Amino acid sequence: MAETPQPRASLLARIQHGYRESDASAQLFKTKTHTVITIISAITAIWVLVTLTNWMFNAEWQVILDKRRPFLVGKFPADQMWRIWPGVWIFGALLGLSSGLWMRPGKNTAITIAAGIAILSFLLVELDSTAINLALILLLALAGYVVAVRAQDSPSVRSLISRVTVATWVLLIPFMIILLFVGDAPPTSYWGGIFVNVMLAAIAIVVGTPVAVFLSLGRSLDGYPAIRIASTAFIEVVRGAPLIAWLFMGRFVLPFILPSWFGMNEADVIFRTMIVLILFNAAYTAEVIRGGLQAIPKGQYEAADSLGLGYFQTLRAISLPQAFRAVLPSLINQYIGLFKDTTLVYLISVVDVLEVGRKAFNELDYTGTALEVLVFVGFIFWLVTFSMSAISRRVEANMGLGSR
Amino acid sequence: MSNLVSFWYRSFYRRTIIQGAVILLVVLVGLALIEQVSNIENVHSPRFSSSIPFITFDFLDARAGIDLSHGLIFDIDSNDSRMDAILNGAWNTIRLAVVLIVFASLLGLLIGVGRLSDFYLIQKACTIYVEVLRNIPALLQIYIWYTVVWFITPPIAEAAHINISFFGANILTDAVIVSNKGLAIPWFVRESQLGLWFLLGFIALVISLIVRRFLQKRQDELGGNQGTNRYPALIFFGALILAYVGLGAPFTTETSSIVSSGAAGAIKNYGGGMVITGEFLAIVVALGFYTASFISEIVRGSILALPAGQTEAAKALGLSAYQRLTLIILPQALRTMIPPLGNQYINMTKNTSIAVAIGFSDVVFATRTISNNAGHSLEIFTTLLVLYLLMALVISSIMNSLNWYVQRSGI
Repeated sequence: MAETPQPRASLLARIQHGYRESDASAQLFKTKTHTVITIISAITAIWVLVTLTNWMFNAEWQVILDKRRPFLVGKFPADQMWRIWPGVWIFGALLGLSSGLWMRPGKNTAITIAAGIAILSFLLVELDSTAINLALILLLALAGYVVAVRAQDSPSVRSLISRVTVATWVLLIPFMIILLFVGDAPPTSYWGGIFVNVMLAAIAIVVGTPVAVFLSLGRSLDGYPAIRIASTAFIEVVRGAPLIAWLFMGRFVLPFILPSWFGMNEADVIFRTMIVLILFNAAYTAEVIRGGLQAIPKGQYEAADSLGLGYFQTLRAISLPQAFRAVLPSLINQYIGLFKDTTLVYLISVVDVLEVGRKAFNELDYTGTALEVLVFVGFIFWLVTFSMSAISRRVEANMGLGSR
Repeated sequence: MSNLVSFWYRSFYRRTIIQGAVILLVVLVGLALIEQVSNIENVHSPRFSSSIPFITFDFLDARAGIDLSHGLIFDIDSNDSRMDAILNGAWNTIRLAVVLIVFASLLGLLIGVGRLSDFYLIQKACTIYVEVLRNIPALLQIYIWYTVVWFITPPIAEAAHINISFFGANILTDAVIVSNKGLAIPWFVRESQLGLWFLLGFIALVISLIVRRFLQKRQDELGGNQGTNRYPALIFFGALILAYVGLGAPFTTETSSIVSSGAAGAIKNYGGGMVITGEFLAIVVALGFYTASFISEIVRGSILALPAGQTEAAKALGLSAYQRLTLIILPQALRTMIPPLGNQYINMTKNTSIAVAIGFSDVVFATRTISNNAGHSLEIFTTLLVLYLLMALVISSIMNSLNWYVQRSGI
C-alpha cells in the first residue's frame, strides 16, 4: 500500500534523454510549442512571484502582531485561559495518536502541520504562559505518535489504544464545553477569534453527524412512509435556503418560536448559532451518508438477512461502516465547507476571526491594512482546511479507497 | 409475553405504531409552534400588534421606504410596496446568479482542462489555483476583491474615461467610465415598438430553425456542405436588421456620462448607460473564482473518468489536441458533468446571499431590511425560503432537461 518513491532524474537529464508520457515536467521543452508556452508561463510566474514577494515585504504587518490575542480568542479573559488549554493539549495528543495509528503522515502533511505549529507559535509567543503550553502540545503530539507507532507490533495493545483514542475524540467536545461553563465562567459574548470558528464547526460536526445518520436512514427507510416523508422534508427544506437565511432565522425568528422551557427562548446568540449550524450540517451530511448507503451492494443486506441479523445489527456491523468508508472524502469536504461557512456568523454579531480582522482594519490606527489582515486570516483558514484535506487523502490511501 | 413479542414482530402493527408515534410527535411539535406563535402578539412590541393577527402577509403591501440600488430593468424607489422591494432583491440575486453561472462555468472549464494539460507550468498553476481558492472562505474572498476594487478605482471626480478609437479617429467616446461608483458602459434605450421587434425576431428564429432542419436533411441525403448554419444565420440576422430599420429603430444605445447635482455640483453620479457597481463586480469576480475552483474539479473528474482508449483512438485518427478536446473528450465528459454541475449552480445561487456583507441589495438584504422595519420576521423568512426554493427548482429543472437531452442525443 505504501508508495515506493521513484528516483527522479535531474531536469537536465530528462530534457536530454527524452520524456516519459506520465511525467509532465519532462515535457517542458518537448516541441517548439512547448518551449514557447513554457517560457511565456515561466515569465508570468516569475512576475507574479516578484509582485507578491514585493508586496509581502512592504506590507504593514504590525496590526497582526498587535491583534494576536483577539485573533485567537477574541475578548476571552487572560486569567480564564485554563478553560481552553486542556482541550488543546488533548487535541495535540489525539492528533499524534491518530496519525500514528491510521495515517502514517507523509512529508507534505508533516510540513503542513509543522508550518501550522510555526504560525501558531508566532501568534502565541509573548502571551501568558503560552510557551509552556505550546511545548506541552508538541510534546504530547510527539509522544502520542511514538506510542501509536510502537503499538503497531502488538494487535491487542493497538486495538486498546485505538478504542481509547476514538472514545477520547468523542468526549473531547463535551469535555471542552464543561470546562468552558463550569464555575464562574466568562459569558459567551466574550468568545471570539478562531476559537469560535473551531468550536462552532466542531460542535456542528460532532452533534450534527449522528443526527445526519438518523435522517439519512429515515430517508431511505422502506415501508415507513411517514418517517421517510418527514426526513426528506426536513433535509430538502434546510438545503433549500442559504446558511445566511438560516442564521437570520436563528437570530430573529428562533427566540419567538422556541418554548420557554429552561429559558430556551432567551438563549444567547452563540447557542442559537450552534442550533442552526448543527441542523444545517445534519441536513447536508445526511445526503452525503445517504449516497454511501445507496452505494452498498444489495447482496450485503441479503447476506446480513441470511445471517439472521436484525435491523440495528445490520446497521452497526454491515451498512454504516461501509457507507462511511465509501463517503469519507465527501464527508471531509462537507466538514471543510462547514468550517469555511462559520465565517458567516458575523452577520448575527458573533465575533469570529474574520470579524476580528475587519474590526482591526477599520480602526483608525490601522487604516489601509485591509489586505494584510485579510491575507493573514485567509492563510489561517487555508492552513486548517488544507491540512484537513491532506489528512483525509492520507487516511483514504491507508484504507485502500479507490484501489479496490 | 410471547404473544406480545410476536405482535411486535408482525411488521404491519410495528409499522403502524412507529409511524403513528412519529406523526403524533410532528403534530404535537406543530401545535406547540402554533401555540407559541399565537402568544407572541402579547409580548410583541405594541407598534406591530395592534389588533392584527401575528401571521399575516398584508404588511407586504405597505410602502417599503427603502431604495434598492443596483436596479436594472425593474428600478424601484422608496414609494413602491415591500413586496416589490423583495421581488427586486430577488431579481438582483437572479441577475447575479446568471452572470456567475456563465463566468464560473467558463473559468472552471478552462482550469479543469488546464490541470490535465500537457504543459507542466500551466498544469501546476491550475493546481495551485484550485488548492488555494477552494480552501479560503468565500466571504473572505469577497472582502479581498472588494478591497482591491476600492483600491484600484479612482473617485468619481477623477473617473477614468476610456474611449474606443480606430487609427486616431474616435468611434465611441466614454465607452467605459471607471470610478469607485462602478463601471459605466453604453446600454440600450427603449424606443417605440420594441415589443413588435422582439416578436418579429422570434418569428425569424422559428423560420430559420425550420430552414436549418430542412437543410440538415438535405445534407444527410446529398452529402457535401449545404450551408446548414450559414443560411439560417443569414435569415435570422438579416430579418433582425430589416425589422430594426423598418420599424424605425425600436431601441437605441446611449453612453453613460457623469452628472453633477447638489450644491455647486458637488454630488456626482452616473447618468444613462448601464452601471456595473463595484459591489456587483467584486462579488462576480470573487464568487466566480471561488466556484470555478469547484467546477474545475468536476470537469477534471469527468474527463479522468473517460476510458483512456478514447484519447488514444483520437490520437490514432490524427486529431489535434484541440480537436480531441472539443470533438471527443468534452462531449462525452459532459454526460457525467451535468448532475454535479447543477448542484454547484444551486450552491452558488445560495452563496450569492453572502453579498449582503458588502451591501449588495440582493433578496436577503431586502428581506432583512423590511424585517427590521416591520417585524413579522416569521412571514418574511417564509417568503425568503419560498423564493430560494423556487430558484433552486428552476435551476434543477433546467439542468435536468439538459441532462435528458445530453443523455438522449449524446450531443
